[in-house]
Amino acid sequence: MATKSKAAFGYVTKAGYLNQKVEPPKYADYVIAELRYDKPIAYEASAFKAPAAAKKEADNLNQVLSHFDIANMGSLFGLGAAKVSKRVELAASLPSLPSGSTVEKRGGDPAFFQSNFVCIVPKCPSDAKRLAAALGKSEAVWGAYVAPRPVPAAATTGPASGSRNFEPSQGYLHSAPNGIGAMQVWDLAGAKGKGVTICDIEGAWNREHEDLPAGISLIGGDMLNDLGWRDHGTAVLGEMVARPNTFGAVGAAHEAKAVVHSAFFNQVFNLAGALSNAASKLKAGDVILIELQSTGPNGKYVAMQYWNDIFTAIKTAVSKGITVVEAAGNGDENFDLAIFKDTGLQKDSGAIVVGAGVPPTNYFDNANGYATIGAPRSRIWFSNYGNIVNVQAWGWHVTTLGYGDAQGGSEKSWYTLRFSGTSSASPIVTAAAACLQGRAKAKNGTPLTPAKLREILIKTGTPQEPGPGVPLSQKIGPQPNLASAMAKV
Amino acid sequence: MQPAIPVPGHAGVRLPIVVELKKGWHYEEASGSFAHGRQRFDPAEALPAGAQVTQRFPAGSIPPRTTQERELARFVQLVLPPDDVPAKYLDLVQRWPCVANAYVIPPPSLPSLPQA
Repeated sequence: MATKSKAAFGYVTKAGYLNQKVEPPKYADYVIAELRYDKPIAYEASAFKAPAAAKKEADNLNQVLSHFDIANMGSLFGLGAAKVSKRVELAASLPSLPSGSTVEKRGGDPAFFQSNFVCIVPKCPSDAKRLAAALGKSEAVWGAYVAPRPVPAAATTGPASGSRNFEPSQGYLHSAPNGIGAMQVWDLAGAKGKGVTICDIEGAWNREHEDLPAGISLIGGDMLNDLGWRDHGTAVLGEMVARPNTFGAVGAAHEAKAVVHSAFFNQVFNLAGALSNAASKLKAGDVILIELQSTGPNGKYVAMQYWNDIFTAIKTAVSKGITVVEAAGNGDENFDLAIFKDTGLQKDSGAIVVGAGVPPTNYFDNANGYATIGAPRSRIWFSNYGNIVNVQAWGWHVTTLGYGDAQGGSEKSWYTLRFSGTSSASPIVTAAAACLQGRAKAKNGTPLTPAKLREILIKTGTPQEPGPGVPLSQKIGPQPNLASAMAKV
Repeated sequence: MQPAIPVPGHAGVRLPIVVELKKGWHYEEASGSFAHGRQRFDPAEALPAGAQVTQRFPAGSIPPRTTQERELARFVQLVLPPDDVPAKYLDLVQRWPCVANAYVIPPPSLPSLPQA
């Protein structure tokens, strides 16, 4: 049976994360015994029976049953007594150890093959294992085993019609060290981000996606009309606020309110203006996410706070009590180089800068085959790094909305298993920040300061690991662990 | 490999020259000039026709009450006509008496991997 490790909101099972309660199976543990083709043995509700030729073997089986309290037995396939008895005739005519084709030639039909399987239900489920072992020793039985308990198909595949459920593959929600422990804390008041507004700043979103909450407002700027950018924004929102239901994904802070702001005004790129405008519409305790990068002086992508107008805008937002989360960027750049002295890459803007870490299960697939991309929680080769990079999260193959590689159909029902980059890492941290602020407001009546929130995430996180070619000196920081962080609120 | 999803060309995105004014200077929209006390500097003659100077931070979003908000007010942007190249004017702008620093932020991209 799938094992539960948490029952407050959802469940971690061997099949993955389930957001709905799993009803116990109809039957307790029971044994399936497969009779040999050539043994002319039938069975009734409480015993095996056989003509004289096989009476001894039937008696042996009944002897085994006598050591247990049997609730019921019968055909595994629900065959009636007549069909079960009929197997005796054919079995008696078969040579020892007949092949399947021999059985068929002698008249063995599907019912005959099915009649070999006996279902035996002990009154005490814990007897099933011993009963199976004892029956398995009989010469009349090919094999006997405890029937596997089913996991409801709906738990991993969603409803019979409509979109599938991809929540089992959202490992980043699971407990540390693998994930950020979001599921662990969801039962705490406020810890799903309630009362917190998250503003994602980039360029386009599909706000009509079936798994997003209704009413996500564009609070400033103009959307780009581009599918790639729209998929990206949709994926980002999905990680944070996708609705909890029986299909799609679930956001780590799915009770937070999401709004979006474009960094483009009348086709002019102005992230600083977007930050300032967004901050003017938010309140202390809210969270802004910067999902952009641009090319630095070495020709590599860097975090946006490198530019002074943006650095200043971040500082201003943070001074208002708004937490700003910023993607470090995918330039494989070292922010501690001398060339960045006195720039925003070596100064504290107050933002939480996020690097891309290797998730626990990972591979790089291309025309040459598959290869792992590194040790869990080590820096992914493309992630920027340095002293200002505070924390990391999954930067590879994050399951969320958009793109359509996991499920196609209309754009509003697209899902992906492959969202990657500091792009995928940053929303995880943003959602973690929203969960903490929601909890702080519920518990203390007031949000944390951005500095305190960042400090908690860093101090309670799961440490970065070294990997081949990516030593710890290439700092991207720890992965947030909300289970530990909540204790500090 | 540096994963990125670039700004699509068809979006026609323009990159302004970001100007950080020296302390005490500000941009007067009414006159279209930079001012500091009695000093004035009119940028119009140095810029191509159709160029616009605007506050970097949209009006209304920054009531300048705090030091940091006053800092924001020091940033303006020069938006050139679509066919003009901002970098061509960068040296010129940096020599203006009111300018502490000027730069063009390269085209932004999304820090993710493009998917087929």
